[in-house]
Amino acid sequence: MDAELAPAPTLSLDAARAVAEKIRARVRYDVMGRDAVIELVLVALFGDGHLLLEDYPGSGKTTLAKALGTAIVDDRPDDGLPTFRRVQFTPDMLPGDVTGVMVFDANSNDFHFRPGPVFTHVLLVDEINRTSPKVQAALLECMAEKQVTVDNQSHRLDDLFFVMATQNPLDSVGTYPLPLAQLDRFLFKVRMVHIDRASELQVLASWGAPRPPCDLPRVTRDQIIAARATLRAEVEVSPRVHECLVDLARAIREDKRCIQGVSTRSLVLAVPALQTLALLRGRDFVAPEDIEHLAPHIFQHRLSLVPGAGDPTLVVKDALVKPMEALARGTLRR
Amino acid sequence: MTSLRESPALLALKALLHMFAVWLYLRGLASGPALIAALAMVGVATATATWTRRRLRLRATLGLVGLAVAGAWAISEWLLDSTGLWAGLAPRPTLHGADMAFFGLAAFAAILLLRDLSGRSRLFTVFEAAFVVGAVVFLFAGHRGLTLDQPRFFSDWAWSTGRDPQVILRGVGAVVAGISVLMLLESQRIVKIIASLLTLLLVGGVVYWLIKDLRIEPKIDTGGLGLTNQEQDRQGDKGEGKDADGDGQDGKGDKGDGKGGGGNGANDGLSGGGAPPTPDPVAVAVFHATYDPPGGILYFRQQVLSYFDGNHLVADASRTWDKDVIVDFPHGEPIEAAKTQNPDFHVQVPTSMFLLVDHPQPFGLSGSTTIAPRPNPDPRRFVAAYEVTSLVGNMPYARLLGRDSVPTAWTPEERAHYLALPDDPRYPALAEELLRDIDPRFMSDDLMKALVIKHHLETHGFYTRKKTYNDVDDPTAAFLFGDMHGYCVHFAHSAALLFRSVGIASRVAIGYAVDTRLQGGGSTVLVMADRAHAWPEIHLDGVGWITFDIYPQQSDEVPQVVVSRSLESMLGELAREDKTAGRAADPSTAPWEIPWSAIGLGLLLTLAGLLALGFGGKWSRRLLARQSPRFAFAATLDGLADLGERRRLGESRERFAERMVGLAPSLVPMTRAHLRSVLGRGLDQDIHALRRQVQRELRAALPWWRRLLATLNPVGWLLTR
Repeated sequence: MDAELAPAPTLSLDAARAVAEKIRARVRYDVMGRDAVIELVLVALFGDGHLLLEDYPGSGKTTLAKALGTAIVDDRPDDGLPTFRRVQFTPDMLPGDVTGVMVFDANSNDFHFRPGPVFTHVLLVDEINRTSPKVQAALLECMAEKQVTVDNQSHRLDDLFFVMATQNPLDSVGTYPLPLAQLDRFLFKVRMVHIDRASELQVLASWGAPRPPCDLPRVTRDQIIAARATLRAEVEVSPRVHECLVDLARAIREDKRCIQGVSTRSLVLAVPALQTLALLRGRDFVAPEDIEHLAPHIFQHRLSLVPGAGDPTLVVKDALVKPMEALARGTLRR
Repeated sequence: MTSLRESPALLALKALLHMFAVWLYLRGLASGPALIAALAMVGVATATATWTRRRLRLRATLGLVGLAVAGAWAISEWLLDSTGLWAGLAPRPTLHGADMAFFGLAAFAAILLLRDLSGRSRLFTVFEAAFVVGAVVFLFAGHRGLTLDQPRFFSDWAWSTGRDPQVILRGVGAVVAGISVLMLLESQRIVKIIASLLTLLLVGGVVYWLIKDLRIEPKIDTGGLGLTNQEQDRQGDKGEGKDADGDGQDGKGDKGDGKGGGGNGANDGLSGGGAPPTPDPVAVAVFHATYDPPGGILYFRQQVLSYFDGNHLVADASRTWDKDVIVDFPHGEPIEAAKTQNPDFHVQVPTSMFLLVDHPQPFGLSGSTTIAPRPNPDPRRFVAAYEVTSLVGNMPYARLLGRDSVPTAWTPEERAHYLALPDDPRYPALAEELLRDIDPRFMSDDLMKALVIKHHLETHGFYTRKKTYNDVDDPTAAFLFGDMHGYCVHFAHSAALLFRSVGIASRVAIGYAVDTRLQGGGSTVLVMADRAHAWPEIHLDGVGWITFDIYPQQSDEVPQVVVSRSLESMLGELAREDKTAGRAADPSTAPWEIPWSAIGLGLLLTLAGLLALGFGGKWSRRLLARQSPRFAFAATLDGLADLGERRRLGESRERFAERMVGLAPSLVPMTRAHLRSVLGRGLDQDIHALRRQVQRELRAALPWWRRLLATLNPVGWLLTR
């Protein structure tokens, strides 16, 4: 595909932020009371990561994913990629149901590849832990490599490929819990909590009456790709921030409650996420508050703790104190 | 429920301190094995309390404590009562067993209660500290006011090494203060503990240096004779003392038994008095010549009462009479008394007096002829020092017989002054009745008459402090013509008036009578407050005034306390300017002395140095703020730290700035600008302008006194992070 060879068109930082804000505005129109989650979704989208939502049924996951999908204009109708797709994972699925299969065409007397649902911009994977590990593993390659391999033939996914997977935290009978290796592919695991009272009332009030369709501006796939490139290039990440991240990872690994600490990959994934948050908050540099805000989301689901160790978020927050202190103090020194 | 988190080290330290306190409390009560059992139970209680304070409700703990107390009582009772055990075991192990059970469980209950409560609420750590501090305070409480008391090992050790016990006691006080601080700690960092102790030391040192010369007067009670200034002030305040008008004329003794508020003091008189608590020393007399007083009693006279005002004998305020008694302290020149004592019948005894308590008049051995000033060897300890030369009698009465009392040379006024007595016929009647039995050979001998009267008072009088005659107009008559139960004042006044009624010139002297048999011997005599006394003096022609004390043969008083020899000799040596208090083999070797002035100066200089460093650092950082944006931000944070607002550990700068929005909203953009300059692409705003803006906002948001305190804070910048 030409997109991977051609240098990504760049935007100004303000324009990149405007792209993100447009998406934010549209999603907020459809999803009420989820501003924090929306921000994380945007961070994952622009930070080129994937998102695992842990939530109860009927809490607006699909609405959120759909709203995101509709916010993106399909400005290349001929490439055959829809902006949004949803897959409901079930135990009897096969990898081909996700990636696509080779189909025999009697006319050409040959096998042709029929793309699966992963060939899209935004993919909502519902109840990811309900399917067998091999299907989960097939998705794993898509997420990590942005490509699918069927019959030894690799097919490139779109650069924008963004997975939002969900799982129910309580209903775990007959599930295949995601192994740590797979969880590590997700940038965030977001635990959505129930929305507040006022927002819930607002949802009820707006349900009966038909709402006018959202006429807020949408963004194109290319704009998102350009914005990603811009923020990677333009938002400054100080070596002190790198130090802080590494120190944080080491502190987590040294924590006695931790059996398995965080991976180096997670640190690599963290940098663009931090840059995105900085951009969303109107800065052109990564600040300590970005680390403070994102670190629990980025690291907590990658930990394996000793039994009875409690909430992994606390482990991350405890480990955060010293590196953050060093970072803050460092700013007063040369 | 707040639970204190104590580190194992602190816990162990507190357990040790509790053991120490329990040992001090039980030292004199429990036997050796019981003491060991109690100490072991302290450890068990400490361990148990760490469990109970977390796991049990307060009620359950209190139940446990109650159970332990009941168990302590029940087990020891059972052990002592069970005849089987007595038969089976020897009595000794049974007794020890009962003792161990009782003290062990009691210690367990006490420590469990203290530890558990202090774990539940910080308030109770105070009780915990008080428990430990109390043990030390009780141990040394008996040593207040120069008094020697148990434990003797402490005072003996102090003197054997030539140290002033007072200094040791102060040191003990300082250590106890440190211990109490430790007991109040929970889980601070070691740096904080050391800083706290150092601060305590610094403040304590400065305070001590400032008040080290402050004298704390012991509350002196001379049994209503009002010999000291302190008592006169007290009586003056009460408005009861008729004659205690503060001009140094002590008129108290006229009828000291009643109106003056005296008479019911605990420690009066020669032949009684000293049962209750240890008396306070009021003076030290150092003898420069060997003098063995007749009867073994030294009379230190302060004043005489010779003027009969129609009711009582009082001091002669007009100063016409009693010129042989010196009533002023010497300043510069020695004061000579009128010469009334015949040197042929007296021996000259020079003494040095060192007053520990302020008195309105100087006092010295009776018959003082000269009082000369002398340098005070230790102004912190002695309020006055002077030399007294006295002519004291050394002749037995038999050698003085055959003399008239009133010399022919006396003027009629003088004669009238020393013979004035109440217009009460009972005095001459009683005297006449007494003299009826006198040996005809001595019918006209004044001294013999006086001896007969003295004999009558001694055989028929009953010395008691229980009868004070507070409610009668004429206590002397009530005593003499009543059942003759009374104390020294009554005896002295009765004797003087009876003497006068038979034509013997007499007066009442007041001061201190020290029984040398109760002293340690040697040339130093310690005068204690309970030795206050009143006695009659009679005049003999050609001899002078002689001490003519009455010694009642019947008394209900317990014997006096023996004076502490160590204290006596120590004060004596201090008075002789031997700083080692007589303990050093060679007095010329300089004894070790705590250099308080140097320590105080050192502490002040250290304080000043620290302040200079503090303000130096503060203002140099402020000055640097103009040089670089980084310092501008740091200086802004310094300003907030001066106000006590600082970033918490692990808190990001942005969050801190948001927390400060109420005080200085501009800190948010300033923080952002600072972070951009360090972590981003450099400064994009004028940080100095932002700093000025923050300063303006702080000025507007804070009252003047908080800003003033911030300006005066020298350490704020050290806390900036």
